[in-house]
Amino acid sequence: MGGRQVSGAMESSSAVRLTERLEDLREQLGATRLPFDLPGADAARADRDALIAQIDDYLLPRLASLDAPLLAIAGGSTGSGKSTLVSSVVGAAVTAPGVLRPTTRAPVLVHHPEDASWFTGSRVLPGLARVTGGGADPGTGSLRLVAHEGVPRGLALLDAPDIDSVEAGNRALAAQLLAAADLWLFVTTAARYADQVPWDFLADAAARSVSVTLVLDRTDPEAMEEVASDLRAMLDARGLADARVIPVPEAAVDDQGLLPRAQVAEVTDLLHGLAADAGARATVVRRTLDGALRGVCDRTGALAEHVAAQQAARDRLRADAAAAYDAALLAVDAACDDGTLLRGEVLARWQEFVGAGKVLRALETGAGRLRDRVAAAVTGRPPAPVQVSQAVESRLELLVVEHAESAAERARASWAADPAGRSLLRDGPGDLGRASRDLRSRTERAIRDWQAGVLDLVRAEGAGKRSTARFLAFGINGLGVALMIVVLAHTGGALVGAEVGVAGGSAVVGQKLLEAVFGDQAVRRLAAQARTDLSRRVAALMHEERTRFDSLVDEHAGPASETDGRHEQRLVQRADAVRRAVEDAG
Amino acid sequence: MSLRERARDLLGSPDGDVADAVARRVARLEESVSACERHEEVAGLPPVRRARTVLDRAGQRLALSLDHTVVALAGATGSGKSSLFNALCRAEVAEPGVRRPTTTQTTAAVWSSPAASGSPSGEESSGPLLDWLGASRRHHVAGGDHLDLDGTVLLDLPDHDSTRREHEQEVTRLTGLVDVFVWVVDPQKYADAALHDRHLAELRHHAERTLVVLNQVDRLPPASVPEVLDHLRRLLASRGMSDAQVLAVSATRGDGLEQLAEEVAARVAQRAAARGRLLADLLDAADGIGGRQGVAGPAEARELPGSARETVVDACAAAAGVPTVVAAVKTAARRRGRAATGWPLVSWISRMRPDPLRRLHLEQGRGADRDLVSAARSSLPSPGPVELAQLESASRTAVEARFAGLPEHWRDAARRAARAEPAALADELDQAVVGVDLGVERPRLWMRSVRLAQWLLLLTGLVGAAWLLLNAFATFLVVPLPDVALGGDVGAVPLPTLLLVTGVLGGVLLAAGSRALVGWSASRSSRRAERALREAVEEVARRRILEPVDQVARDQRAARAAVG
Repeated sequence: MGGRQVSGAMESSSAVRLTERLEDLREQLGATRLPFDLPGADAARADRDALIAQIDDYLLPRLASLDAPLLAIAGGSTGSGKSTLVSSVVGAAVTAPGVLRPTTRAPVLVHHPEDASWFTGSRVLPGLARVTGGGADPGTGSLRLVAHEGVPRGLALLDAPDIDSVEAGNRALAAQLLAAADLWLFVTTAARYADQVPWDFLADAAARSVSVTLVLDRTDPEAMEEVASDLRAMLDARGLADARVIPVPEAAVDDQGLLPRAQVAEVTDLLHGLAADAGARATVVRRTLDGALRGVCDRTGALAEHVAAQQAARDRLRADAAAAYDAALLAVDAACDDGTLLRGEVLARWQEFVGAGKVLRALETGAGRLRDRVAAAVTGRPPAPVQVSQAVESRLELLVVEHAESAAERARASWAADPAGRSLLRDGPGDLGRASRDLRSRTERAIRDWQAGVLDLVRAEGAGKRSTARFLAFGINGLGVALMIVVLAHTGGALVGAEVGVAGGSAVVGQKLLEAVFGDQAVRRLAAQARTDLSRRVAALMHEERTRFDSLVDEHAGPASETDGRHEQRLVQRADAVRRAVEDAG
Repeated sequence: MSLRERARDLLGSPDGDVADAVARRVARLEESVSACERHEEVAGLPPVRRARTVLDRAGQRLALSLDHTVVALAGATGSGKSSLFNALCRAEVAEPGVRRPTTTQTTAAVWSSPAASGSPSGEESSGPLLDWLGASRRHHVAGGDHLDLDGTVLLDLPDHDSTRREHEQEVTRLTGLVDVFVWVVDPQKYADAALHDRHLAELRHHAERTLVVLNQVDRLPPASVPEVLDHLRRLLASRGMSDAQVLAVSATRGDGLEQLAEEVAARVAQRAAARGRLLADLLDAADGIGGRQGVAGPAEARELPGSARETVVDACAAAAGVPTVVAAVKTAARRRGRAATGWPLVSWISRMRPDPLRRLHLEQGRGADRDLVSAARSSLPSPGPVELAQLESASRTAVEARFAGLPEHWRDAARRAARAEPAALADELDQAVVGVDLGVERPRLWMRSVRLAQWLLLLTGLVGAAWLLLNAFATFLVVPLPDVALGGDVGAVPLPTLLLVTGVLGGVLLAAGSRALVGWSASRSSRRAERALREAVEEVARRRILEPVDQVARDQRAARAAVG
């Protein structure tokens, strides 16, 4: 095989290169995922599938064997008489016309018996199962092969399903078949010729210069001239000036359902002429092939634009979620820094701890702790430092959880305003607009862990000072609480009004206390460490929350890879490579 | 009962009832749609917009002649709409042709009764209707044949499937307005997706007022006509149009024309099609809002649980600094009480200490002063991030409690309604706090009595002291004083001494005794102040958070009332 005899002009090496480039492009198209429901995504997906189908069904097989029989397709609207036309041209009822619309479901391919080898394998239209012989309509998804002497060698005739009936499967299959044909016999009628749907197909044919011949079928002989001239004018206006129009007037069919031979003579002559003339056939094949190759390159370019839009949508969705959670993290950090966390309960408990002289008492004697313990046992309240750290915990928790809630709400809102995000939200879990269910308990744990970490810091720092009276007097808990207060009152200056003196003073008391035990440099270091640790833990919580959004994106669009950003470029590059190879070969 | 059954039930009833039903439906849908439109999250939803369109159209159509029934001939190019139109008019009004598409302008034919010469002619009464329909080409058919087509407005629409896009737009516009649909199809085109999937699917709920006419049956082998008709019926049924009537006609040969005219006449004669169409549209639109899948949601918004309400008020109180104020009230009350009831010689010292209420700028004047003061801002700290977070969390909980399980747009609307701008809310809360009478301005009656007693005791002590001093001075000067001046003895103790001791001791003891009472009274004052503050804060919470959410809930219920 190999198209050597027909493609004298084409050197085999450049043909092989073109095939390779096309296979590269096919691979890249196959790897193109369009996961987001952006405007135009459906069209882009259909386009991608159509491109893949055309490369598989038509371009690769045709490039591999340029001298394979020419495939002429009878396509067009339902009820335009495609099946009758095909049967009449062949001279036998090879396909069954009918009055119920749509008639043809499974496409019928009629070929000369000696050409059978070209079609029985999966060379062309590999996606369709082959059926031979009669029997029930096998439906779309299969291709009925009919070998008949009425078709000349070197040419096959395909009776396609309609392009415009209520059967969506027919419409899709017809489009696929039309993309795989060398020559269109586009059948229309006096009632049909101005319909929108066929003209969409014809515009596509014009765009990639398919060899088109229009068959004006089922037309009253009196109206023929007027309709034909009107159709001619429409073709001229729509870039199909060189398309031929063959009139086939309405006529009674014989008992086999065939039109009189004379009626279809012009169509028969055209097909037999092409079959007999290898040069003319090659011209038709080359013309459609070149057009299809160009069309594939152009449409890949358009598809690449949508791929870029998809990539942008993915980035946008992730950025939306990230922005919401970054803002939340920032807000929590700011609240931890401006001292407002120390208000209310924390301040009250801390004042109780320092103000009620417990600190001073504790400074004097270790018995203070025993007394506290007794008091705790009697009143049922935990010891003062524990109360302070509980108050700190509850306020921090409130802050973190609420900011996570509002971040989730904001992230969902910005997704809901985005077409890609909307479809994700529709398919995703319904509670994405809320913080995750266990966030409260996780936050509680994180803050407890932080507080434990603060105590550890104090413990480690005090390792050498364990035995000093002051250290013993406060205990690790007291010093730890003092460190928390110092951390959260970091800037102190934000305390206003009545609380400024008291809270600022409280922090100062804590600071003095710690400095007395550890020295001022160590206190500054400890405070910085504890602060960083808190930020880190809050950031981890927020990150976990954000992951719900990110993983939804990944679930939908597949995990991100570093080649994602280049996918669009690769499509364009490979399409360009095909275009260059076409130029070389041409 | 299904929508369609309900519509049919209503249409089966007498004329006046149908008119009533339409009017009631319009009013009810109007209420629901307005409720939806009050919230931007809901107003933009397609069913709401569609319902608005239906309402507008219903208003327009009801204002126009209901004695006329608008019948539209619609269909694909080349199916023979114009030929049928001419056949029904019995005149060459529209010009059929072989060039596609033929009809570009909608043509109207109006049947007017020759008997109605006294009354305003059909031409006059149908004029505004035709203007509304936008049919500029008009033709008047005198009635008088055996069929009663009086009051028919027959429209010949452009095609819906040709390359002329504006034709399809015109068809879509007019199918939104007409009363009876006659879809003309032909053996070639009767199964086109353009017809079934694009147009008939939209008009499913008008199946009773739809005729599907298979034209050009002369082109089919006679034997296969029933087969094609049957297939067409199946296609229609598969798309929910089984109630549409299917007829076979041939405009050129005249088959079935009589029957078509009769069917049209029957629909026109009832004079019910216009209202029927509106009613079906209204029910369909109402279903889109209040139905099972409607925008209103599957259930009514719940009442706000008391606990959620408390949470909101608590959060507002915390944000308003109520605990701070209450603590300040307690301290101030105790201090002022002590100042009032303490031993006058030392109680002034406590006045030197700063008054917490004054520091918060909550020191209130009396009478005319009060208003001046309450217009000012307090020095309470503005709500910090934690308080604001608590507030957000509480209002979210309140919204969730009411709208859980309902479509998200209601929740979003409620969240937006409840989301107060922090600065403005803080200001309102502050105003509420400033406006509360904390009840510590005037010392209580018993305190004033104690103070009087204290002063009297002090006076007593002073009198005793002065007397003793006088006696001592007289003794020093060795001036004999009469017995009376010496005061004499009361029991064993001399009177001046008794006065001094009673005055001092009594004052100190009274001060000590009042201290406990003052503490108790201060607690009471602070509790009373807390109650008053909470009431004031609750009012703000109601106005800024609870009531806006309530409004959304009321509107959601109103939206649900669209059906039923």
